Amino acid sequence: MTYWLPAILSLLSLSGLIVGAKKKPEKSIKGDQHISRLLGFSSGLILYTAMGEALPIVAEQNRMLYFFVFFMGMLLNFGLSHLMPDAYDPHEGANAPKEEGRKTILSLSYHSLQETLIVFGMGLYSVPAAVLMALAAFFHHIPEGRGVNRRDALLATILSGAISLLAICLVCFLIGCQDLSLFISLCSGMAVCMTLDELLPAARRYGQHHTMIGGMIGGMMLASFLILFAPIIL
Amino acid sequence: MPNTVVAFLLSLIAGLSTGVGGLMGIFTKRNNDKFLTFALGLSAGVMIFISFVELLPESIALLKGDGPGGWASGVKTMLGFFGGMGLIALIDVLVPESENPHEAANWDRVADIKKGSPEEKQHKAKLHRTGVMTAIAIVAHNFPEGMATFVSAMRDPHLALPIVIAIAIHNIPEGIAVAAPICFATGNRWKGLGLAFLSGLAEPVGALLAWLVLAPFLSDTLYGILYAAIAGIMIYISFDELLPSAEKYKMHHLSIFGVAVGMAIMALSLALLK
Repeated sequence: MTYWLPAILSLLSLSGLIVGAKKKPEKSIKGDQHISRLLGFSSGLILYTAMGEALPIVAEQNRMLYFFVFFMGMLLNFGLSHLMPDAYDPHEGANAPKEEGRKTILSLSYHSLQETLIVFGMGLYSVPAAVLMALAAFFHHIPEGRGVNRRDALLATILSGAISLLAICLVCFLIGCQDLSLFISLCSGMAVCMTLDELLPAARRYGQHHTMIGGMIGGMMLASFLILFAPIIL
Repeated sequence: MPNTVVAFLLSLIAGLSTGVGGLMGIFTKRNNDKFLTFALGLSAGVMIFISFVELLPESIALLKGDGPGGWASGVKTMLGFFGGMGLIALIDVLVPESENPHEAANWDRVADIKKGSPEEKQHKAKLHRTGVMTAIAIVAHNFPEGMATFVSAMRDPHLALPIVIAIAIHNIPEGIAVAAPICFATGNRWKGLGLAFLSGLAEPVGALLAWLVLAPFLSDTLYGILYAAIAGIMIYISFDELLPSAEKYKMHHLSIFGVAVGMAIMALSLALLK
């Protein structure tokens, strides 16, 4: 598996921020239900790809080690996410107009950097995983962009894209031709923690519970379908 | 000991844990929110991990080579997985939310109402009804769980053990949900406890049903489909019921900690068993 496709897809997924910034931050029940569905959909994609597909396969060789790395990934994501105060967390109150300027750009960039790395890491597993994770990240960046002006969203996209590119290059340099499984396991843990700790609670806040569940099951269905039929299609 | 006996014993243990919850429900004065949050999160973590990391791959492995092309096994797994979700979703739709065993109840608020007032009588009557309806709902929930435990234990008791642990842990709050309202409504602890135990017995009854109906047809194909269905059921219960119930007490990080601990327990047991 080359590095190019997951790297490109992970950077492209950032465009969800710009798409979200085009939406007017009007509070409406219908709008909130859409956000809930989108976040639920992203969650379903991520959970199925990370836990249902990637983790069991990579961990076959040495369960103890890979499960340990998985939980380290969860811990890492939890720690990194909680370094940022809730006031700047893009999953909190996406519909409220955000304070313009540097703080918003930096908080969005910091948040998106983690997600881009997760998408890249998971994407190293397989082509379907790369596509699914990029889709999940794209969809869940959309609500994050709401309430942000387009200029800030564009700057945040460029900044996190640039830092992500550097980080991806560093990861590629460090991993090189080494076994990618440990890195994939780490990213699976980060992805699962992000989903459980941030995406699902955010999805519940915006919409009715069963809207979120419906979105999540839809995401799992798409993930299972693509993973199953991608070898035939490709 | 033959697998059938082990399977029945395991489903009995899972069912009896409802009674353990009942015991807790009648001897605690107030809801222990922290414990419930952690227990629900732990149960969800156990179920999510075992479903994705063990049951689904096991299902695919069992179904592989069955039918033309390797993708046929994947299709059957998918159908089993989402079919299981659909089944439990249907049960959920048929059970009113107010009687859902995983919904947090206000049974302990009766202590705040003035004694002897018409409001107290009304509240107690409502609590009694809640307790009975919850017991019926739990019976409906426990049937597929008992069948799931039995089927998985018949093939591989080692695989069934984590499933039983997950089901047992999540049955404890269910037992509380039955016993406590009855206890508060009637003033009779043993009535509440008895009803909790009885509703838990739906698990071994479900196991018996599985043995009578499914046993003659058990094969790798059926096991594979059932494993996928069980995974779907557990995933749905975790995200539709357990996690939202854990979050209701507004201790989000404690519930996530419970999830992580549940996953870690399962990861360790799977790593050690294989």
